[in-house]
Amino acid sequence: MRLGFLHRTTFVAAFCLGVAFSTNSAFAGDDKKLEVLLIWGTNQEKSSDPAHKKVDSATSRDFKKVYKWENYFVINRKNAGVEARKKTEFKMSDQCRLEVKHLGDDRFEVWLWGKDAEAVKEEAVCKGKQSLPKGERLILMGLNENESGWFVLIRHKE
Amino acid sequence: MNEQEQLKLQAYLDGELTGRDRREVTAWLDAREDARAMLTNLQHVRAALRGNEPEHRLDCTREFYWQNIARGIESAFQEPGAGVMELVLRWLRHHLRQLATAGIGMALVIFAFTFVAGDVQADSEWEVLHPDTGMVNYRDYQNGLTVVMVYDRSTPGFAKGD
Repeated sequence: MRLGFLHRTTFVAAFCLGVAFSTNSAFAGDDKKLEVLLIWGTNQEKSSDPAHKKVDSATSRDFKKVYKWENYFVINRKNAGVEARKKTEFKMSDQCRLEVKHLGDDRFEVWLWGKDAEAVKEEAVCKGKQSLPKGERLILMGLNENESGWFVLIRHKE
Repeated sequence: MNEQEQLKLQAYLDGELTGRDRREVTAWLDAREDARAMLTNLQHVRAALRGNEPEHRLDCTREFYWQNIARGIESAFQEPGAGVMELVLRWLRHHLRQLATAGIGMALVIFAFTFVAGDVQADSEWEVLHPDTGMVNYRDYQNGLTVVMVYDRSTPGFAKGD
């Protein structure tokens, strides 16, 4: 059976569109598993909370390249699958909360919510769209008043 | 003797001159010593060449022999990829419709990715949502790391802590 030119064009166009839609995970609806860590950077040798463990050596090495602190403790760690087009919440502490939405492919929208110790109401600090393929890391960070630093590390869960 | 006269003398020796030119050269030879000397020289050269020039017998006609040489020169100077290029061009002409179809398909794919699927944008876009908050972004392409630092703008020097 020989297809006419118009039929062939339609077939090729439909095929190409099919490839375009199927390869885009925004339409495939797959979850992305993220790991989120709240990290405390300090020069203290030990944390007051014995439950706080030091970050792995690779992360510590990377942090020390950029920041002045000697020690980095994991305050909280959350793993969750982030659904497409739907916000997933990561409550890291009483003062720090994240909302993450999967935008398709390896892109995410991240909201950072914060609350001072005295503040009653939680407020949005910042938001952003971030491409986060496997192996890439996103760090949200700030400074505490006691000269230490806080970090929210987001990465793909392998 | 100038060059033109020498050439004319050579033509005279080869028997190529007729009429007025031949008479002119004959007059030179009668009147000019240098013309006679040049003619003598040319005669010696011709005799030497005739005596020593290798004789080459052809198995074909003169025209056919030179045509073969011309063809050989042409093929030697032809570009090595010329034959391939011709094949490619012929293939392109033959498959023009299919190529046009594929082009439309590719355009549709690009359209689908850009406008329908969306989200194909810059790697990182961040904005501050709090009036007292400032932000500094840092991207380490080598280590695949993006750092977004937020700081309290109401506290002087707070961002310079690290």
